[in-house]
Amino acid sequence: MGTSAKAGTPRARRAPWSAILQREAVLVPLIFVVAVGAWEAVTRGLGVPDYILPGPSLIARALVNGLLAGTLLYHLWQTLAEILLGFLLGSSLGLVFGGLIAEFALVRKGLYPYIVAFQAMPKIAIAPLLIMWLGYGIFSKVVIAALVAFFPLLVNVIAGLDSIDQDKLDLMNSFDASRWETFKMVKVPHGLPYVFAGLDVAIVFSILGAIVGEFVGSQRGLGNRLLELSFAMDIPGVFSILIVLSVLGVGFHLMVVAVWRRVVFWMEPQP
Amino acid sequence: MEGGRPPAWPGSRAPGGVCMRSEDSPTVWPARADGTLIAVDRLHKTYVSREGTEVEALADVGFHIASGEFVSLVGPSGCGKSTLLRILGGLIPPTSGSVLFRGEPVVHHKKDIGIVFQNAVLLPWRTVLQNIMLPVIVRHLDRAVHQRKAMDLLAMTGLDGFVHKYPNELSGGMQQRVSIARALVYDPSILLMDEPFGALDAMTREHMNVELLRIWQESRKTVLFITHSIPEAVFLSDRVLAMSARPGRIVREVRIDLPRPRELDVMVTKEFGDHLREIRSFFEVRGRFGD
Repeated sequence: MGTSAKAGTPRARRAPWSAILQREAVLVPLIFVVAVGAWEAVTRGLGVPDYILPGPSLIARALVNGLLAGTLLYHLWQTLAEILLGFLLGSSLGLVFGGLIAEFALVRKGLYPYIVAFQAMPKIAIAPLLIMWLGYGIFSKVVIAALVAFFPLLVNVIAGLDSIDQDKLDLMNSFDASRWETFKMVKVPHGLPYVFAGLDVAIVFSILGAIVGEFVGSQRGLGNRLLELSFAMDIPGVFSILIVLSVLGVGFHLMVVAVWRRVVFWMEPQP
Repeated sequence: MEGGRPPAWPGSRAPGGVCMRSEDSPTVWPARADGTLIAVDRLHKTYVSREGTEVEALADVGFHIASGEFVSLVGPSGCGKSTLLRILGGLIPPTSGSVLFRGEPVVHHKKDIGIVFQNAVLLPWRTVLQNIMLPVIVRHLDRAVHQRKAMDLLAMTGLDGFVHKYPNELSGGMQQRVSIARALVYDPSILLMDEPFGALDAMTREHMNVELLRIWQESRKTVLFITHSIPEAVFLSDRVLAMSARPGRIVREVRIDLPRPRELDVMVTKEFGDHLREIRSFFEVRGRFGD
């Protein structure tokens, strides 16, 4: 083994360019610069109208203006609160119900078919109903965000608890462990990677829920502002909101992964 | 390293005043009543497969294990060895027949039984010491006392330097040693070992066999060792039970009277070869020997 690799002539020392390019810290910003540059060049060069596709410089200006005027932050706080409250509410309910369904056969039998049916329905479709019931304020958006965050957690908690291997159960059984001890000491830690994978999906879904809720009916929030700007044909403004939303999404994802790494220290997160 | 230590294999000691060495007893079947730790009688296990057909895993299995004995069970893959071990450990019930531990049903004696599984089954979020202490915590035993015991076991298994490491920082052989220490920490009377070294490479496996004999001689446990390696069984055991292909039954018993303590050199002796041949010939007559 390995002799054929050694048999060849020793490799000449390569120019370090390819090695430098391989580094994420170099490659990712580089692609950004190239893409943004090309975008700017194309919009200017071809004279694409601003209301179709504005160049990056116009979008940046809209972003800065929004930040300086305070309108962006005013709407951001609202949406942020909706996302976080919805995420907390939805994922904690998902954790509890997932645990109950996974652990108690009776609950699983009785509840699971309804949950599957409910999951198959696009939750977004009940947003108008929720707005009607709960009003234009923050509460309706929190509920919509919670609703979409609930299912990834529920499904992953069940999958995580179900995936426990017979070996570990046999081990605990050989120590005469109680069901609670087995749950707490083996099943829960074993299921944690699944829980975090669920949280990672849930936080992104919460953003989606909050924005869609604002689309359907709201007085404040980034979704509300997005509609306002697009009605006014302020396309650079629309793009600036989209940028804020994707920064939010990436930020939340990175936070979840950071906590994931700390808590599930024995295993690399698999995104 | 053990120089000066008196030979401590079970045969030399006499729990309850009964000498367990067997030169004086004839080819024992069934084993004598005195000193019997585990008595398996007319054990059957049938389970229903996923397709709904009944599978007979064990048919009329019977044997005795005396206190202090090292007994191996060899047989082809899928012959029901692991099923038998799970029944002996009280993890699953037999379809019929009995397993008595000192004359009582085995399920009441789980705290007297230590199981070493095929995989080390360490919890990756617990350190080596925390893994070994797991049965102590679950059984609500005195932590301070057993922590000292755990440290002794770690020293005995050569893992002193790895007390606060996590399982994924250990090699396969080390992980399996941790799982042996975990099974010994609450001082069970018998160790049930289910092909514990099956996943290790040949060199590590031989090394672990020697280690196991040393641990056995120091801890003075009764051992039931399941394997599909005949040389491993002969090297380790006082007695080898051969099991047929499914439905599994004990079809042969071979007493191994090689002197103890044994080192790997014993494997090149004529006596060792004779025992190998004797057991192997049985499986050849019977047809293929699994894997």
